Amino acid sequence: MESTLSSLSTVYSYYLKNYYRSKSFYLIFILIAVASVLMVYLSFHYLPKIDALLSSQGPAPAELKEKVVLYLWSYVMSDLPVFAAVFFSSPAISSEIENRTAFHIFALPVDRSILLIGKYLAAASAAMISMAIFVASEIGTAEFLFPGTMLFSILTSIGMLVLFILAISAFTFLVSSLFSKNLYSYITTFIIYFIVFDATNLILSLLYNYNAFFLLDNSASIIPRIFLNVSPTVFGGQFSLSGASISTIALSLAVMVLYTVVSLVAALVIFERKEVK
Amino acid sequence: MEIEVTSLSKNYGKIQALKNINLKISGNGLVTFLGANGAGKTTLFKILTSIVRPSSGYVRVNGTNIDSDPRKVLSNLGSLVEEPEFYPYLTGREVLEFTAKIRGVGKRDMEREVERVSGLIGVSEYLNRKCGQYSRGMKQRLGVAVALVGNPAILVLDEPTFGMDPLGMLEMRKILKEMKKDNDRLIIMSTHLLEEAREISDRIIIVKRGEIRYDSQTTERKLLVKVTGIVNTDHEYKNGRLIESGEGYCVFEIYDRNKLPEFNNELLSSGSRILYINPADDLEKEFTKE
Repeated sequence: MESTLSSLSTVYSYYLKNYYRSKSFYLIFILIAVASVLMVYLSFHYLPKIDALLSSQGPAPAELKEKVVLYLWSYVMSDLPVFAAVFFSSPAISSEIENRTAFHIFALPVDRSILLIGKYLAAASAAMISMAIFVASEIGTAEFLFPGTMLFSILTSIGMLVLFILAISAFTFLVSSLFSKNLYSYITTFIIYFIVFDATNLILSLLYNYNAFFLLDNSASIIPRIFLNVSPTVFGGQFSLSGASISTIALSLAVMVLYTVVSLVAALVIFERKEVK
Repeated sequence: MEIEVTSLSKNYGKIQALKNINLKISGNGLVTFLGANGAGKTTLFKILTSIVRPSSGYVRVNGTNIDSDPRKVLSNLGSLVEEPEFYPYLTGREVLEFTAKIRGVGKRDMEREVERVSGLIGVSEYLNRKCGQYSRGMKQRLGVAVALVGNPAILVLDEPTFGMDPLGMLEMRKILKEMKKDNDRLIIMSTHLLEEAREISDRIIIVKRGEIRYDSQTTERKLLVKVTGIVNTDHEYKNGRLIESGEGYCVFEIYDRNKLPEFNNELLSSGSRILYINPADDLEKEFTKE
């Protein structure tokens, strides 16, 4: 057990080092920093307009304004990990074959499951680190505009973000394990997440009036819905100016955990049988 | 040390890369697999290092089936397979440290081990550079250094001199010759260079089209001589027989190694006009024959 943990820790630390020194890391970090600056700008300039938007119901209470601002931040926040995951996790397995590093690591006396889990944790950590600037900007902006009011909700939303990063990274690892070329892995992940999931969602919502809660992008919508229960991606017609209920949060949480576990187990099964021809 | 290969076959789709290989390698020394590109050497090495799985048959290393317990086998086996690549944002030192940690080298011995293998293979000077900046030859050297980390009893080196300049090749052969003196080590390497195999090997196995065509340990070695000049091929030679003739040369198989001087006299008395006679082994012939 100690040897397994020690190997896992070694694999994790070296993969993380390789991730955070990579050009991909700096690129995604810069893009997220730009998104953070834009969101700060939006928050300060949009705030006065919220009153006008809700003028029919009189001046909007400060709590509602905060919810709207945080909803916008979290809405963007729920999409960014997809790009981070694609950058870090899509080539995770396929690159070992394409870049021939598998000849080194496969011949080491370490279980492939440890290699996979170590790399997965490193990729998810890299995605989380790159998201840190956005999260810090969100908390900073909220604290500046509405000091100390919704910290618990913000932390809950960030907790769901961490789970989402784990889930999307695991799912992307699964896609990556199917290929030996990075490009196929990138394209497939994007197509599944942005086209297949959306198309499935539209079909089930519009034709069968069914909320496809099991799709990962729908469960990710919980990150902003903690503030306002509005989801532009679910066409159920139900929304509320209050946050999502505990049961909705629990359902999304369960979906994310399920994606994480099932994707990792499937990726592991494929990775164990992976050969470098 | 013992490696036992039994009825080993490997197919890549319709391509049969290895065909029913049976082989036993035991003891120490340097065993070379010689073969042209695509002969099946690398596939065999990939199976030996658990990079690919056999389609049928098995490999046992010191009694352990590599397919059922790869970790146990690999813990005492260092390898360099194909042209190695390493994580581009890690330095050579970090790659060696990573390998050492996985191989269970303790913190206290880490630096000494990294210095030992890097000094032995001559990679010390660029150890702090990121692997993404390494040339082909540097990567090859680092790959050999990685294989040596932890001092494994079995070394599997797939074309260790590949991508090196002539000086590097000579140096690497010298290192291999030194390493094979270690009584506790078995080195298995591959090459497509006949001279390299001849120079450093204790045993040579020729692989062709996925099959073992020649094994210097089990195949009876013949003494061949190449006679350059005009040779009387109608003469009945008592000490040898003509096995090949070409423009300006003939190759004879000598029946008895001790009777080579008698064969030379026979040649001279047969009326042949000889320019020179080269003793030759049958390796080249085995290597080139279809």
